[in-house]
Amino acid sequence: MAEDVKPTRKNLMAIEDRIELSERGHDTLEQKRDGLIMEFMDILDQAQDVRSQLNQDYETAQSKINMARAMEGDVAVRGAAAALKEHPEITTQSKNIMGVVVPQIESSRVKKSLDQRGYGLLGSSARIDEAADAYEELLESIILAAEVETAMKKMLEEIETTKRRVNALEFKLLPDLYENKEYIEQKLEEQEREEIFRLKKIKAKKEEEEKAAREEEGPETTPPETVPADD
Amino acid sequence: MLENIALQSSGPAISPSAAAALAVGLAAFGAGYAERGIGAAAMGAIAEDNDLFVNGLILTVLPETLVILALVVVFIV
Amino acid sequence: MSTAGGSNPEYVNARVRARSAALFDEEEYRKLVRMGPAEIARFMEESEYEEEINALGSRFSGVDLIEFALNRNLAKQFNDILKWADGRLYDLIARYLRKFDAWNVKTIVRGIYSEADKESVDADLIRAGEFDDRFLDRLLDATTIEEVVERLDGTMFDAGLEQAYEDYEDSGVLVPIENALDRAYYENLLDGLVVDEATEQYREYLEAEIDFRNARNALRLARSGADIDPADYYIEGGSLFSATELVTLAQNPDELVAKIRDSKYGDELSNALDELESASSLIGFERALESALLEYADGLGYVFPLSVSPVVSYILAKEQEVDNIRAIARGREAGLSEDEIEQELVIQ
Repeated sequence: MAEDVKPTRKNLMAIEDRIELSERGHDTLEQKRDGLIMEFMDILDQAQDVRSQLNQDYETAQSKINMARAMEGDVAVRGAAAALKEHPEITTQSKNIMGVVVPQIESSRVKKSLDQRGYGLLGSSARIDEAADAYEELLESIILAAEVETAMKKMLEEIETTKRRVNALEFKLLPDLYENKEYIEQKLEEQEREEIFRLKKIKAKKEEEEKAAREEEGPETTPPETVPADD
Repeated sequence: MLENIALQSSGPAISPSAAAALAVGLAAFGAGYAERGIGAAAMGAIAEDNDLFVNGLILTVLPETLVILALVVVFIV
Repeated sequence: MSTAGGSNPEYVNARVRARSAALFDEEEYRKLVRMGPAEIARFMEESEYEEEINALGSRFSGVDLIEFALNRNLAKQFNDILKWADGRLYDLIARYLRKFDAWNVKTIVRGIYSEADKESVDADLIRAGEFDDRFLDRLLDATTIEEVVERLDGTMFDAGLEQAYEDYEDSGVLVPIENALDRAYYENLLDGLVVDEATEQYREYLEAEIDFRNARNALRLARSGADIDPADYYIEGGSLFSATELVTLAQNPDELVAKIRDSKYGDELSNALDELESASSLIGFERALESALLEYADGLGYVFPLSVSPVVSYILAKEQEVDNIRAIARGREAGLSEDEIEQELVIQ
């Protein structure tokens, strides 16, 4: 790569500009990454809470419905469930956390009161009520978990890409640019040195030629001024 | 008036044998009523378990003793 | 067979006594609690449930088989009793067994509402009530709820159902219809009941059933905190509350509990009421109500041997047996421990 660039002053300037830009980008991205990680830690805590809540709710719901099925019979529980056709509704919106779009799930009609559940109050028991309650709670937990865990996933992806970008800048692009810069600088210096050397050489040759010409002309000519041979 | 009273006390309204017959008849009626309930219960029990047939039969005819005891009256009078 | 003709308690009692001797006793429950579902099914196959287990064995398996066999056996037993009984006895028994009619109509309506197929609805019916198979099949053939309502014309459910159907059409939820059906059943329990010495106990039992139902519903409404008028759920006929009393008591559960404690049920329910005041769960309270009812039923069997009482006692014991076996089987399936299951059982 380093050999691809033409060692010109123009290129050097371009590369120096790019280095400056990349450095700045690198800093910004690093800040973004740290910010995202902080945000992610918050969400992670929340997600862990939600997860354990979900597990807990699932277990209570399961034991409640087992109890209801045992004491009232599967037929009664299934019947009570059949009396409800209305499903809870879910709408999703999006929210922006540091440039990451995360969903926000809004649910309605999950929790129902006794007269909205469909089954008649007179012919049912508290066991079925409690099972229904537990499942409504479970559903709410699931919705919350879906929201938090999707946000977590998206954040994770974003952190991953930001990290990759930072690393690409830090370990690939910037070193390459620096290498190029160095290469060009070296080349330019070398060119300069060659130029000087060549100039010296030309000068020396010229002097020699002049000397030879003077000797041919004879002594009457004024002795040549000594050209300072320094440099 | 007096005559009437004397007439009534002089002899029973019905003859002894008629009274005996009535006694037997009433006894048989009572036995029949008793057997109705027992018989129904026995039939129920037998329908559930055939082994109860003998017990059922015995219990069903038990009130029949009433009629037999009532028959004794016939021989006494 | 019908309300016409004389009453025949002797015959029915003799048969019922033989049947109640075949009910599972404590020893057998103890054995059942240690069994898995498959073993329970095998155990039932060797008992009076043989026919049902064999008939349903090809269609269902596991705990479902047990539950359907239990329901079917229950239906068969109760149908037999209704078939044997005549006259006044029939009327008295049918009052209680109509609860299965209400149940079946509800199942059919729910089936139509949730668009379930006919076979699965049919399997869920408990054909133990007064409606015969032909009538139930006609109800099953109905494709809309309106048709069901029409076909129920002339039954005891007729009265409140039309209003309930209108409410259903407005709201789209089954609650009004289900409540109308259950209300019809409860209000028919005591309607026109001629009470003599022997049936007084039975009347008390039915009254307790209504009172407990009212108490339960009032507590459930109070717990749920929803804005529902308790008067809509009040069942006439009980001796414990009046409709207006219930409305005020449902706002204040503590007073409701105090009221029950002061009533004639106070002694039997005092433990349950204590539990209710300390714990948040209504389930323990409901279980206490159920066992209080069963205690009533237990007493029914002995005082008047040739009345409706022993028959009712058997019916309740049979229901309890079905509940117990189902609880054992479902409990085992759900992995409950033996102690937990035994705690749920109600064994006389």
